[in-house]
Amino acid sequence: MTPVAPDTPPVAPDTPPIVPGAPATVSRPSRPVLLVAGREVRERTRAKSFRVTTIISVLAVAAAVVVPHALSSNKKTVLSVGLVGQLSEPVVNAVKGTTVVTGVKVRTITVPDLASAEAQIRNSNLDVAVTGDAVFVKRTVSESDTSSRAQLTRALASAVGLLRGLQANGIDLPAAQRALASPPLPVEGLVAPTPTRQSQRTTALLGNILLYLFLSLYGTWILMGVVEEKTSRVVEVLLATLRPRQLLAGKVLGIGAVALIQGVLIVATALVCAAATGSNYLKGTNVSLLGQTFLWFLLGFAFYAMLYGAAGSMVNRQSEAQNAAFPVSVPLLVAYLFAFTVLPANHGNMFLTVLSFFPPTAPIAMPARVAVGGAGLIDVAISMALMLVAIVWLARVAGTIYSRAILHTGKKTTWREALRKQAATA
Amino acid sequence: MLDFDDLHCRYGDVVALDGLSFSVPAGQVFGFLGPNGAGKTTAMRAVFGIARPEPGEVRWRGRKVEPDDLVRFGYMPEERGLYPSMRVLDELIYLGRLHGMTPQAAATGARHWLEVLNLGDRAESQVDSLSLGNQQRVQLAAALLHNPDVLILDEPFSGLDPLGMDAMAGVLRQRARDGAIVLFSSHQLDLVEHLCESVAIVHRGRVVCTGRVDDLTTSSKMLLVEVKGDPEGLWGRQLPGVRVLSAEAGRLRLALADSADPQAILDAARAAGEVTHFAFDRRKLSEVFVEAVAA
Repeated sequence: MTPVAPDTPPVAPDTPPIVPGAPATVSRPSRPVLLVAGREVRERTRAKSFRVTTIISVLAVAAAVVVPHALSSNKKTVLSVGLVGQLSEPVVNAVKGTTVVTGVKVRTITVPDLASAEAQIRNSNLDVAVTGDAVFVKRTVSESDTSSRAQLTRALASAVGLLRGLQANGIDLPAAQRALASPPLPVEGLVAPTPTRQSQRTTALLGNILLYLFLSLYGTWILMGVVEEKTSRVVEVLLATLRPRQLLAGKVLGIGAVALIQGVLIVATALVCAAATGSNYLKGTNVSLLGQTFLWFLLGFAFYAMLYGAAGSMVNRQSEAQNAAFPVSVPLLVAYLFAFTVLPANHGNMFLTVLSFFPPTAPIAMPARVAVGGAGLIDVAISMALMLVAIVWLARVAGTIYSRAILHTGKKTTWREALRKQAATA
Repeated sequence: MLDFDDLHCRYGDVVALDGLSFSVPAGQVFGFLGPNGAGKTTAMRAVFGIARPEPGEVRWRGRKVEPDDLVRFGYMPEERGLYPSMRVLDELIYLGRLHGMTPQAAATGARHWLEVLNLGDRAESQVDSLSLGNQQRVQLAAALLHNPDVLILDEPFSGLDPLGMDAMAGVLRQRARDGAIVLFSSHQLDLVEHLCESVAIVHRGRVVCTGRVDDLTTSSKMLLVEVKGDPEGLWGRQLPGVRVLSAEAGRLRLALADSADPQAILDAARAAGEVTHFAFDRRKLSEVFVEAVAA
């Protein structure tokens, strides 16, 4: 310790009385919440880890869309049809004509006899073999099979069978063949085409995965951000000029903005790649579904950001953060898993209906219900209204919990204590 | 003037503040003393609304401190805190802006204080790459950046090396000379005695003693007596109206009650041996402190 004599001049020799740049009077910053949000955006987007994960996510999403498409387009889309023995010209033409009906490209190969045709089917050199009497494939084709091979098989069986029937009834084969080769009638739809429910479900499934991932990921960002401020004790410096609610609001806003940038980047990459490659993923996408999913993301983020923020404020050590996040993530997980079981089955149930109106699960459950046709716009509107009410209520409760817990160190605050304090101050 | 008026505050069953009152005038360095757990930190937090006294209020220039006033205040909390992963300059600019500064003014102020505190070359460093002592200098810069009218520092000297302490003391004096209210807490009583014009001593949530250091250390009589051949100073133990504050190698520091008679003391000393020193002295602040807290 260095005792300082009373009349010693300041040791820092050049301490001037007035600080350059510092105004004689300062006024309260007009938008402290925006200042806090701005710092979040700057610091997060500046961090290497953020840039790396964003680039990796974008590349991964692009690959997830492009690669399966590239692989499937490399697959044999031209099917080989074996013409067994000496088939009449009309039959051969009928086989070739099935391309017009089914849209499946066909390569015909002449095979001397049934035995060699069978051998070639077994070792997959041939997809289908046609004799005058029958059509052979490796495995029987079910009615519901919509693969190109199944469509072709059914078309071949029907065309060659028809030809045989016509011949048996004494109709001239060349004429019959000409008749068969005529193009199908144009089909006029009375209502504009809508995406099929099947593909809508696919989109909803992907939307669900993204919603779940984004809400839990970005919620965790909030949690970690709050925990960092609390454990580094910088929060006390901040709270000397900011109200706790301003700090929490700024954090939610700032991290929300970064999340939105990253999320939009990822989704846009997926959409652009899908459009560019003509991938199936996009077939069910329509503006309304996309808009709804986006809206649910915003609502869900607002809801969970505050919940994660309150949870983070009760943590005293970085190592406790995961435990604190768990109870908050449970409703998300339940809705996600349940939606995942409902979507492929294509019908909702009572439980899903309940989840779709319950604010913590609605952001995930409602889009799923819409996709399986269980909810109309009115249901969506009611659910969103409930969500908004819940958000307003939660803003109060979470703000109070946060205000009380953020400076509380020592023993970890429990939810029960935090809520009891909330009740006491309400 | 910053007035702490009858602050009460409790955490569960623990009473942190129990009617704490004192006033800090502008233009002097004011020390805030007290044993651990006496309520110093809670009282300082109450200035910023971080602790909520109930009842009681802190007034600045005669009015209750409102959130809008706080941009003119600078605070260095006991538990230092900065964003560990931010760059020093960015961090200071951010904190300056929270105090209503423009980005340019905050940057100028930040660079200035980093120079003054010998951290000019670390402006671009990440905060957690600095030593704890240097982080503390950044923390001080954050409290000073916006030229606050009220400077509240909780244990600003703890953890500093002698050079850092000198720098800190110089800065506090300078701010007081500029007319600011400067209040800081410390356990280093010798330092406080040399640095502060006034102090408040708090114990169990109440101010037990406050005033100018000069007045406190001269308010009651203190005799310094040295007697050869009596290292224990046993001769002074039984004198009426006299309390032995310390006895070191025959040097006794004696606190005298009003009733005590210095001549009688001198006689007793001479009876005990050769008196080599006999003079009135100031009390040390630490003696004032011990007495105030023991009462």
